[in-house]
Amino acid sequence: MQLLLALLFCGSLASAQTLPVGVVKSASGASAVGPDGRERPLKPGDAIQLGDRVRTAAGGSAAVTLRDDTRIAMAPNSAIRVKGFDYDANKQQGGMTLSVLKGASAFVTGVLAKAAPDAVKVETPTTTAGIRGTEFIVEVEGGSDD
Amino acid sequence: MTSRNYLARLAPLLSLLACTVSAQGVDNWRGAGDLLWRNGSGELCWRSGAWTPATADKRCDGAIVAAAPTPAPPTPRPLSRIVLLPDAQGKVGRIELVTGGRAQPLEQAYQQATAQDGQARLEVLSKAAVEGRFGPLYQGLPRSASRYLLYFESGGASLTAESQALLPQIRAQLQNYPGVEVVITGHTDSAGNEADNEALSFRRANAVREILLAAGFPPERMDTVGRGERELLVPTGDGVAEARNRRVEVKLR
Repeated sequence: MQLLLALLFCGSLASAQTLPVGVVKSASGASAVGPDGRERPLKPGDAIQLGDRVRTAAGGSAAVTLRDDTRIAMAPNSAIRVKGFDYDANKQQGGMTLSVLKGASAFVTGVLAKAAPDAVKVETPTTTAGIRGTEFIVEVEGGSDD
Repeated sequence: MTSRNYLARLAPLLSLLACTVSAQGVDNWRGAGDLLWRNGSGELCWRSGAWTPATADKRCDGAIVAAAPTPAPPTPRPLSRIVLLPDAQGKVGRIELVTGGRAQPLEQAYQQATAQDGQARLEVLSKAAVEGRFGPLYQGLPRSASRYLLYFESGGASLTAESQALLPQIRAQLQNYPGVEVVITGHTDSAGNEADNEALSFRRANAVREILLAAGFPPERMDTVGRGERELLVPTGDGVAEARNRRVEVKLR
């Protein structure tokens, strides 16, 4: 009986799982490369995890929403990395660091950019941006998605 | 006739010697310890009759000199542009740029920073220029979230009739969000203590989750959040019972 209760408890914990760092909303010629180096093609509904590098091929595109409501669109031949992401939805606190490695991406910030002045950072090969909000585009020429 | 060529003619006689002292494939004469036999002034090496430029010791006259590797094309120095945009309501945010240790704020609509080699140059672009360049990219952003508020009959977890009537509408919205996520956030009013309200807000969120599950919402894409009394919809002092603050927000994104 105790075991059964324990199982039920585990079940309820599992059902209250948090959403992944990001979820793909649209993807064409897009893939994600995890920290283990494995590449997976992306389709709507797929999860983006911490450390993933998201890339689009020539002619490709991708749109992703992060857990704090940040919205991202990626142009063809582009790559970004979710370098850091920590979000407590109940307290609406945390931080994130996104790297724009190559190409162009558009961003609309979510809850975290409102939470603290230095909560959201965007890095490129040549500069670092602390984001207070809200909508912006980052483009990198001469970058690499490796 | 140079002494070098004279000796080269004697090569057959000296072949035994040559064989014992030559390394494979090299037709310059070498002695013990890889010592090359050179002329008196040192710029010419002795050769056997089989010598060709290809079988010359690399250190000797007449050897084929490998072409210097072509220099790699210079890698383009990376350059980044950051363009600040107004939001849907026309409000402009702010970006603190740090380039090569120097901080510069971006705070105007369509202001662009171009960062390269540790320096950033700021300029304000025209709306048309930005839209011409990035319009298609911007259009590709995920649609913004839809939010619905659900209210409870007092003292329980059953929805009001009005909120119940919203469910089909919310459900119909699911298909407008590819890869949809549903975030259910419970709130309380400020009556009672914070810890109790925290727990109560979770109970409300979970109650709505059960209702949405039964209505066919995707469980793996649902998240529940409890905000307690931290986010009052109608601002009140502490300890105030306010029906409009006892709510659950259902967000589709």
